[in-house]
Amino acid sequence: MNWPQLLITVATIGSIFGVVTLALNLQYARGGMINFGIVAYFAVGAYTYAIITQPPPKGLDQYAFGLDWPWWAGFLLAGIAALGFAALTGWPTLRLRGEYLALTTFAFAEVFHSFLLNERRIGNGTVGLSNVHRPFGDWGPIEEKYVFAGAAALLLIVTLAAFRQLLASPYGRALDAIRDDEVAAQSSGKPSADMRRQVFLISAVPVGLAGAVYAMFTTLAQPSLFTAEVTFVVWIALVLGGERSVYGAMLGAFGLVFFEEVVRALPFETVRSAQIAASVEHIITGVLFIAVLRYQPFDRIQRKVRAST
Amino acid sequence: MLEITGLHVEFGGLHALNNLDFTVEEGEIVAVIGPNGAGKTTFFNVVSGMVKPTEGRLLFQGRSLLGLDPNKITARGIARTFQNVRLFNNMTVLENVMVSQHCRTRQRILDALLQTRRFRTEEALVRDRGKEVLGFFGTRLTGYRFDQPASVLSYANRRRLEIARAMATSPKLILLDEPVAGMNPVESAELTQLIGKLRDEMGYTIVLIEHDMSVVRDISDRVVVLDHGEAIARGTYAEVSANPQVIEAYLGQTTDGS
Repeated sequence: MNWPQLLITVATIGSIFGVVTLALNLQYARGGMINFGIVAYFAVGAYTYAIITQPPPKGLDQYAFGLDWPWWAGFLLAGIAALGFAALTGWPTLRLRGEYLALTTFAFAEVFHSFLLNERRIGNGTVGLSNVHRPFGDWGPIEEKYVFAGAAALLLIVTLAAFRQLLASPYGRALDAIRDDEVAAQSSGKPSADMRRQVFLISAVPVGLAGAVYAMFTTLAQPSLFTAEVTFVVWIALVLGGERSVYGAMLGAFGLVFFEEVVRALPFETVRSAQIAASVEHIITGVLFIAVLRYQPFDRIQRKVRAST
Repeated sequence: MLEITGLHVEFGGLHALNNLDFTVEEGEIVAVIGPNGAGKTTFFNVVSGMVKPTEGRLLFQGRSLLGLDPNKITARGIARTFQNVRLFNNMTVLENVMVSQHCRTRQRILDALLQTRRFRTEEALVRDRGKEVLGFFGTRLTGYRFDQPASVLSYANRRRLEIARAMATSPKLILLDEPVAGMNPVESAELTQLIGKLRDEMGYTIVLIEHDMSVVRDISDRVVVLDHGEAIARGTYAEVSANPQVIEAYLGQTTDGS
């Protein structure tokens, strides 16, 4: 097994999914919103980046738009597009609570997925957009993959810092108050509906940015990359890590990605053994999931850390 | 200060409030009493914006409160407490009062993200003011209590903290829903005195719902009696307690009364 390569992949993918998990953590643990369509905001970021940076169509290309702008424009616009998409989807859905919101967001993501599958002029249909522009390249002696891992980690750190700053402020206090008791929060002057909407919008931005980095990394923006499975991976990461803490959420994301990549990197002699391994992966994921929920190792670590300080 | 005319609230076919007129002058302490289900809490819910009235006029300092969300009404200067104490249980005592000053500060998301100077001075101010408000209750909510989670407080302290949180919104009018419910006689007498101080020293106008008649007698300037959503009597405690209709509402009809 090629460990350095594996760890670099885990660092990159883990950081990207870590950002999405953090956003989910903000929406769910602080805003009380269950978003089962988070993959759609991720996909909006990826597609926006691809469309902004790809060259105009030629030859057999079916897509109609390619702006050929620099990578940073695509990256920033990916965040803005995700924000816009959140405003569009949040407006009708955020009046709903709990499982109803979960269902509508899930439906939105599925609709968006079939839109991507069937719309050829924007996203090139099922084929998707390939050869997405990769901005970094080698930095002197540093290989591209390290630069990439660093960039993904930087996005994660900036997101974490921004969220922490926000949550430590009176704004975060107000969110906690709304979560604790919405009626009392309103009568203490908190516009709870507005604030919930703001959280939904703010948290979509890093998800869009992470989508852009994901498209750079895989050089693809394809419908098959943005299925409901992504949503559930992120939710599992959040539950594994414990939704009460931002660090737990991140640990959960890294742990899950690490596990997936290790299974993927196992060498197999025959096709049959690879097939068995694929099913075993699911079984082990399930068992781990149950074990983590039963014994709550991350919560325990946190409690210990807190007790010692 | 508060002028209510012809207020109707219907839930389905039920008249929770029926043609209620109610005025509160600045600096008054008005008690609202009445049997269970008379509409007292509904009345508070309407004034604080949590229930929309079916009909009627609702003026506070000459401006209508109709159609305003609860947070806007708080911003106008009406704060309330709840019958079944509603605190932010996962937050500390001090945070509970800090958070409710939020509607008086100019705090913005960008300031918090960038940690501007304005943000930091305002935060320090909010903290000091929070401690000052808690200090109003003597040493019961100060010192080591500042950093305790609200959930560990005793029942009486939870009620006090709820009043402190209402005070922290810088209101002009405070609505207290059964402030001494569940307190022992000593605590109850102390809080009664404190409610008087709220008016005399802090200048709040107070409307309270209370079942404990000794409290009502001791502090209210006026009493309004509700029954079946209607105001059946108003006046001083002495006047109201002698009113046969009030006695009937509380004790039921006497056999020779009809």
